[in-house]
Amino acid sequence: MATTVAAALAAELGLRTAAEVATRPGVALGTIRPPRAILPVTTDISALLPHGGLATVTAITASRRGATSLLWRLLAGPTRAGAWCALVGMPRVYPLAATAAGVDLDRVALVDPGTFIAEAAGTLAEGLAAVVVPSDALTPTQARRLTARARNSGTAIVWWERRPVAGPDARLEVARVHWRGLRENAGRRWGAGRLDACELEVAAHWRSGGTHRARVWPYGGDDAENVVDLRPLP
Amino acid sequence: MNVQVRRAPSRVLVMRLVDWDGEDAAAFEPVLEALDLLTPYVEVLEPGCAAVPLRAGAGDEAAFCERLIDTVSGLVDRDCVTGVADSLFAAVLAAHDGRIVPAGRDAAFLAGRDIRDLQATGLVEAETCETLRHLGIETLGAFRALPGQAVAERFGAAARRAQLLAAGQLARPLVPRPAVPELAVTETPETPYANVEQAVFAARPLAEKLLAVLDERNLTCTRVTVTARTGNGRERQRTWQIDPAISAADLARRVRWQFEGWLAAGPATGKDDEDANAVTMLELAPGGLIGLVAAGQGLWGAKGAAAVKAETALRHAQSLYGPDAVRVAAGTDGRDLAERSGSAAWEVETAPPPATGPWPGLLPDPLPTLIGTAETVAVLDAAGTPVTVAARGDLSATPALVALGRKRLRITAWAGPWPVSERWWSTEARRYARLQVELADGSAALLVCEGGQWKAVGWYD
Repeated sequence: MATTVAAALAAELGLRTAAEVATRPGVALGTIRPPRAILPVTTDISALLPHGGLATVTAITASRRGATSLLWRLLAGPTRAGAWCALVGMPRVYPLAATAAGVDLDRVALVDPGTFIAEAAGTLAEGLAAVVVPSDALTPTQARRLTARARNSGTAIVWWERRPVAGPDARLEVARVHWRGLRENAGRRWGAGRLDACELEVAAHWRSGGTHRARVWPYGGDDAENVVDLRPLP
Repeated sequence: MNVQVRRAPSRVLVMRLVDWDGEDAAAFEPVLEALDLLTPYVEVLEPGCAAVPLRAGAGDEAAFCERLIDTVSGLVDRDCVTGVADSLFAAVLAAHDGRIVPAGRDAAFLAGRDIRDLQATGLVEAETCETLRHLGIETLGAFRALPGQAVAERFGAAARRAQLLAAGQLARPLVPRPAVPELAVTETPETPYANVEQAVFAARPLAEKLLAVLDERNLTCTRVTVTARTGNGRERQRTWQIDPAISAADLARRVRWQFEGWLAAGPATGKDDEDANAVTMLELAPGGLIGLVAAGQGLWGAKGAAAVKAETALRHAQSLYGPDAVRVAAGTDGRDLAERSGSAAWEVETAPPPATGPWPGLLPDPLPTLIGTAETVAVLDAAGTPVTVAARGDLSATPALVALGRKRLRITAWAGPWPVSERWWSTEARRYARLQVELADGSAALLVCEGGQWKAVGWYD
């Protein structure tokens, strides 16, 4: 009985018991165990993520401008690969903007559970490939519990980080955003041009240390190296 | 030796509901159940029309017809007419005007009918009837008098069969409808389940029983209806789509979620009244039955385990927070940002129709990522005077500042305005102009000027 309680507790907290560690001598202590599921992401973002894909816990700093574009770009790969993603309790986002970033909207569930954001995120973390959760809706304890649950089921949690959360595998921050297409149009009554692209300078802070930087063009652009236009794909 | 088998002389009663929508098979089902009370053998000819065999000379046919009409019209608010004759074809025609053809008088009854009634056999096209009419064959009696071989040569075998039917010669026995097997499993505990845990505990054996019942018949189901009745007589019901290969444990878990959802929705009556909220009956009814072979051939297409798992989680969320809580967005018809974006409750509502037209004047990609705030802003020129949009579609001055609440932000780059004049022919007419601005703090916004008032309808983020 005591062992099962300990095992259940360990599973909930995402810990390994001493017995488990001992039976697996191949795994050295201190290394990051690869998560069960790594979701594919677009090539411009994959360099920013520790496993080259969307894995257990990622955070996007919501206060930075361009963060929503980065979020959609992050979800473009998984949804195009047919994985279900959910946005829990984020009512103001305009989903159609995601299509231009390459997201397949048929695989994005917009969940509005009212005040039960933590509970709903827990439910969805049982089965979905990725769940986007605003961090300010959860207490630190709830956040830890959700992360443990997600680790168990192989769900990727993306924190929409309005309040800092502890220990994400990678924290993506838009350092700068450059909107392209608008002009100064000084002294004119009618402005030429239109907003047609944006360039994000993204810095990723990994839990294992180190900062990785990349330029991301969520809606296409002229830098052929970084752009994966997913739209024409069937 | 020549053995001749003679069928006992029998009569056929056809009942028809007047003006019944022929497609509505489901609504006809209760009518059939009412007929089952009167007679066990019912053949459904089409929805709204059924045939019942009667024994010749067994009783007063008119009285039986009266009773049948009373039963049916008491159930559905429709007129019901009946017809009785020796053969099915004659009875169908007799039902058109509610007649009882005396035994052995079928041929005489049919002889006077219009040739168009031949279509009721289902063997003859309307054009054939018209051809016959042009040939001077106005009644079934005249058609019957034609030489059979000639009819077969000219109109084919089907018409020949129709001719035999018109002569009252070809009769087939009625085929009673198969009784729907009672597959639902029910648990009625002696002591009502006082709480969810007890009901969930009972759900597991019930789920096993249901799957065993289906398995015996080589069937599996794609839907299951969970019904619970509480002590105060209130019944709660919910139908679930399920994976045909569901296990008893999963099915029991589904029942558990349903109970949790009902619990979250609140008890039916006051909390202190425990008896009223106790579950007195629990039922699992399968729906959408398919054979095991068909189920094995991949009903869900190439749906992987991950997708099944994800959909299970989404359904769980729906059961807890209401079906409306999980929505999937899609683009639809419209020009305005809000109009263009439709959404539907996942698996509950049908998705909004995809955009049909080219919608000139549509905002091109990328679209604003945040909407719904519609803050009132002021667009000012360098001197601080408000900028307006002229009727010709240009600005009154070069925009330089955006006043957002108390903040004043410099415009670093801009484009537009793009005037939009929508539905000028109707009362929903709208005229507005759109302006894209990039502000000094690095944000970009879509501003709309309608009726002289600027609003930030969307933010690029």
